[in-house]
Amino acid sequence: MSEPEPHPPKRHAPGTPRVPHSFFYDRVVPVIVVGLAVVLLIVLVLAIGALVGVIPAR
Amino acid sequence: MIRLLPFSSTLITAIFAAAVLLRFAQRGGWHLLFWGIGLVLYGLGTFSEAFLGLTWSPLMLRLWYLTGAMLTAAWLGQGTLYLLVRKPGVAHAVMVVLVLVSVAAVLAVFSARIDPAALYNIHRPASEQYKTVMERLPLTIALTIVLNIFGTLALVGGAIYSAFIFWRKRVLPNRVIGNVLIAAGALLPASAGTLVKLGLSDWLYLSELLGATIMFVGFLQATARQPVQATAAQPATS
Repeated sequence: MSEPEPHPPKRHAPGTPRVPHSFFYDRVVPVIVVGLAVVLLIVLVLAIGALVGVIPAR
Repeated sequence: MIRLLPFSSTLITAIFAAAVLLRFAQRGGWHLLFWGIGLVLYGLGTFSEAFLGLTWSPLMLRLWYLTGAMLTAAWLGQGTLYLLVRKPGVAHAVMVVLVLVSVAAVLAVFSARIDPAALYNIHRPASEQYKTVMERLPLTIALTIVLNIFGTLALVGGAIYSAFIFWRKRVLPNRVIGNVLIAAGALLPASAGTLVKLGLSDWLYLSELLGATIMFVGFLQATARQPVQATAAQPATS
């Protein structure tokens, strides 16, 4: 839910600070993002399974 | 103690909805409008849940199912769709479908038969009892699942996508963190159905409270003003 848009410009506007390299930003954040994507996938598979009747619906 | 959680969820969601709608009033934007409506629906869901913990009400049970189980995720997801989809007319077309489906959901829920013989126990969560109390046609169940798939995919998927884009560009780290929090917060109530199936109905309350709180923190983080350097930044690499 960020604003104004999720697409940053291809070239950063003058004055836009770039994030410095750090273990947290370079290693931890991508693991968290991928983990969230995996959880989302599991939730969607369960929901689709419920829809097609493989799993009893709520 | 855990039965008080829906009241807390309602309070936090009301503040969150007010913040989003205030921002909409100041800046405009379809995404803010739909997020605001989605949060109002979220709050109605937790409020009706809290009400059903105090006394039995067929109206509140219908409202709880309609808002909490059917509409909230889809309307929040529609807000994200407005933010992400730039092709003219696509988000509006999906919005028209969403409104029509939502009207069908309202009709389905408010025409559903409530079994007068079924005893509703206010000391047990509504999520444990609604199936024995309220009639749900196959269409209602299908609409519930489809609305939740759409909403979860758009809201959580959109937040993950946004977090990834900002992370890759190495700009605006507050939006990376904010979108991660929004995705995590939205996944909590989205996965609550699984918790209910596992017999952990009480955890539904906690997931709603944590979900609203984490999403609110994520929203505040993502919309926080960032300092801008006076001199030009390094050249872009992509």
